[in-house]
Amino acid sequence: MADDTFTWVCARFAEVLEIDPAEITMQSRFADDLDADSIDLIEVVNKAEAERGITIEEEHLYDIETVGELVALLDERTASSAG
Amino acid sequence: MGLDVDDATLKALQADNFDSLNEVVADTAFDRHLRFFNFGYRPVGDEQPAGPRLGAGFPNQDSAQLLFQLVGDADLSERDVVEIGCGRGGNLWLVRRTYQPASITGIDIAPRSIAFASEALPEADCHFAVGDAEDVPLPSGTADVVLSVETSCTYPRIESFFREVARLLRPGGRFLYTDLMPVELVDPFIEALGALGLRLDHRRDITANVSASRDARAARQRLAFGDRPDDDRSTMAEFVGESGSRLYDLLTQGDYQYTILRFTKVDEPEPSDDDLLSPEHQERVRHLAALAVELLTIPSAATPR
Ligand SMILES: C[S@@+](CC[C@H](N)C(=O)[O-])C[C@H]1O[C@@H](n2cnc3c(N)ncnc32)[C@H](O)[C@@H]1O
Repeated sequence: MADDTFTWVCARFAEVLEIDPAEITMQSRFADDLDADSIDLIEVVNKAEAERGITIEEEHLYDIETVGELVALLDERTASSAG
Repeated sequence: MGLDVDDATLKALQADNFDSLNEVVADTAFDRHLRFFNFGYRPVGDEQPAGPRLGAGFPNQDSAQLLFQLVGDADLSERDVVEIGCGRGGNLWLVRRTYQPASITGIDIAPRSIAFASEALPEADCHFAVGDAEDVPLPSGTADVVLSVETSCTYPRIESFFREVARLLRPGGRFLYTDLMPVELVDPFIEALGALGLRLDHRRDITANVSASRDARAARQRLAFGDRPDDDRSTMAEFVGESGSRLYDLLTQGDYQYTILRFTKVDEPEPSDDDLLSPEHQERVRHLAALAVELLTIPSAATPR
């Protein structure tokens, strides 16, 4: 599932940040590598919530630094809402 | 908006403005994440940020940084912290996460902001109430720390607010104060507070840092407010202090200073009705309050009064 989620996250950030999805890796840091801010992150998280019918508590977003951490968080929420 | 309306009307209009802003925000996906309504602080040059490091997903890093800069070396742990003009409670929320105060209490004149804050912080040590900074609905001597962040410039009679701060503070309590101030009023404000028993501990002009935050963030923040009617956009630009707005001009053109002031209550002078500001300075204060009301009125939300 992580692969799918990663591809989905890359596509969304590519839209929001107007960059090439190929530039994004699991290790990309939002602030330092992608120049993404909390508004960008919230935009993508809102889309994930709508598409997957999940809820991400704000608290879980505060410590996120990398694309990989967001992918893991989305997968975890998706698994727990399905189960 | 002239100066011909009375103080109570000016304040009611400003409450409406911030209630309207809450409504605008409620229509966006950012509503629950938006806790701060201020211009923020951005380190410039090789300056290191103050306070704990926050992750990329933390909403509004620059507002968090403004709070950390304001608090500086003040000790907030186990203290009763009161914020006057608390908006949606972001500063108090962050104070609670960061410094372990005994309690937090927020007062604001806009009911919708207070509703948001109360819902976001329902815990027993968190209190929020609608009230006027110039006549605060709290008992005397209830605060170890009073916070005031980017709100006093809209008070038509600021010396009443200063008296309230002195009344609320316990002996030895701290007043942590930051705002956009007319340059010629910074010294008179410090003197007025001095006459109320508050000793200045720290003073810093942070205009360059606040404008750096606006340069970096304002345009993006306004876009997050969604697609507004044209007339509203210029008001949204004022709320976020975007380049080209009147408030951005005030911030950057030299007549105003965004200032951090920290005080300690060292004395409890006999109450007196003497004016704390000269009539000329009082007039300047009122002028700024009226201007702020005018600039922050959202056209599509404005209701005739
Ligand atoms: C720019 S916002 C700052 C809010 C908050 N301190 C923050 O940093 O997010 C200004 C706030 O001052 C409040 N305000 C304006 N006039 C007031 C008054 N007379 N008494 C209490 N609050 C007032 C407004 O409702 C608004 O929430």
